[in-house]
Amino acid sequence: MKKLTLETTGSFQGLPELVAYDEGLFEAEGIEVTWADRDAGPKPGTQKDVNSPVGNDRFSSHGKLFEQGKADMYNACEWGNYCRVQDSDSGGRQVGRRAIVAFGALVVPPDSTAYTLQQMAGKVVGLPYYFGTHFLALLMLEGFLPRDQIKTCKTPNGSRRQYDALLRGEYDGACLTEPYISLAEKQGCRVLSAASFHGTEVVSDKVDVETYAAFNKAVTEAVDRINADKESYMHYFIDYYKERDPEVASVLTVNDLRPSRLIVQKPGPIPEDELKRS
Amino acid sequence: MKKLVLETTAPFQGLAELVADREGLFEKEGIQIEWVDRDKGVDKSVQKDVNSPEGVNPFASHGKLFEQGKADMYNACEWGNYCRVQDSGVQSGRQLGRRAIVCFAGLYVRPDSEVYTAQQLVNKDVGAPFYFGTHYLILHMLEGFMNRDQIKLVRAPNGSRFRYDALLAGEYEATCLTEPYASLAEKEGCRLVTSSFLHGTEVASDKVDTETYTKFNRAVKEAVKRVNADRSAYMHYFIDYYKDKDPRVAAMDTSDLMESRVVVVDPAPIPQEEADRTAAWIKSWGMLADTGEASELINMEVQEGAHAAAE
Repeated sequence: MKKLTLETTGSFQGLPELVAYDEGLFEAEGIEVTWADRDAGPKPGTQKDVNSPVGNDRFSSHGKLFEQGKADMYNACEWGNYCRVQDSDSGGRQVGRRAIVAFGALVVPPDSTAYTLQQMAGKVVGLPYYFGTHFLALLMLEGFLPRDQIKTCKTPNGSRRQYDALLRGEYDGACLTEPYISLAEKQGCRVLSAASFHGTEVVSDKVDVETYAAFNKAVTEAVDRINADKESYMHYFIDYYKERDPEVASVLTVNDLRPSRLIVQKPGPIPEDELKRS
Repeated sequence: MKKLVLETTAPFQGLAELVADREGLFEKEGIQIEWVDRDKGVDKSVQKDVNSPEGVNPFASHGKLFEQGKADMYNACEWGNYCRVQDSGVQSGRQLGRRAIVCFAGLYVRPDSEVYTAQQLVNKDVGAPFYFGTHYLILHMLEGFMNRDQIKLVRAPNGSRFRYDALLAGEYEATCLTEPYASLAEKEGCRLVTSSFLHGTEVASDKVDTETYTKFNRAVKEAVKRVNADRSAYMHYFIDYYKDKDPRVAAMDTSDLMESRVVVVDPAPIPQEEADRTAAWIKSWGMLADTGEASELINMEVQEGAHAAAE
């Protein structure tokens, strides 16, 4: 049995890996997975005076333990991983796209005067720099606004913290993932825009071709199982948070979640042309 | 009782007006509404060799009867109405303000598509109904994810049903759908790549003076209030409107729809800075070339007077 230590992953960004783990698919491929908590420890709150990613630590969560030699592999958004790999001291490289195509949405509070993305001109969007929703929000807003009208400030990663800060009025918009998009909608917030985005996996040289092939076989089986019965896996989006966030479990049921927002596909290489454009 | 002839509107673009009509709110304000079918006889084919709005009639559906003097008012997306008003043959035809519904639309691909993200639509055909709201929304949504020269459009018909059928038939890689077709597409396994919301406006002739538009807006505002007070009670409009036209929609249940996609607000003036930015953006795509200032396209007197009076 080959041991692999993975940085922890949420259901919105790693459902197939969580299913593969829970259903013994990694073990069936000869891989023993252990999880290392990349998010342990206190997080700074919103930093309104930090308005660009320049100078910020790319490894504040994803890649943190990997860089310390405490994890062999992690997955995160593709854009952020380009930046992390560039700055890696551990020889980390991307090995392909993860299975889930994550869903993110730009959300405003119920009393916001913004109803469309154009109306976010000059308004502050709280973003976790170097995380997927940071890049996604830029891409979504860029279609509707000149770049100089896009205003952002730094928030911690994790949709819970971003959602709380949004409701406290610390900024005008936030980019959330599930189940917090559904929670926000249920609590009267408005989604101005939504889109899906790819992520990739970064590994050390401990993950060789044979190991990654075995890993992907397990993940592919999980993808097949999820796609065969998506509804039966929606509970992951609530269960994952129920001990960390009682509001998710008390306010949401799986009926509040939209299976169409759950998209998983077989892990694959990053196409060369897409790589260059990204 | 003042009679107003309106071009027909669907729930995704005119729910508040439909509710006001059905619940007698216009009549209460002394307005009798008559609907005229703007979509009768409209070409619903895909034209793959038409790849830009240049030369396309902006009055193919919205504004068609208005231009013929057969309607007093219509609502459509704000971008399209800037272009229609510029080209209007009705001397008094101007926008009076924003309609109540903020319309949801999503860009969808077939279940078997290789496209999972907006970036992957680079150089792939997207079906767009030129001069309709989803045309402009497609441009906005894709522009963030790729360069303009990588966005490839083909002319698709107005009406989500027709665009959805063409998508399933493989006539293009993606198209932009409104409700209930967005939800139908999801139910049938299509993937939402990206989604957003858009404003619309109302265009009227001088028959709609300040007093009339004030009354019209009072009725619409009451409808907005009712919809927002119990949104779930109004979701059936999205199915009822189409159930005789499309059995797939008739087979849907309101639980297939998302209430969060129904956003209605009080009708309001178009903010000047938003009008200016919108006009500049439309011009950047080669449309609206004959317009100097965005304010030329708005009847400022009625817009300001009527919205203030309806408070």
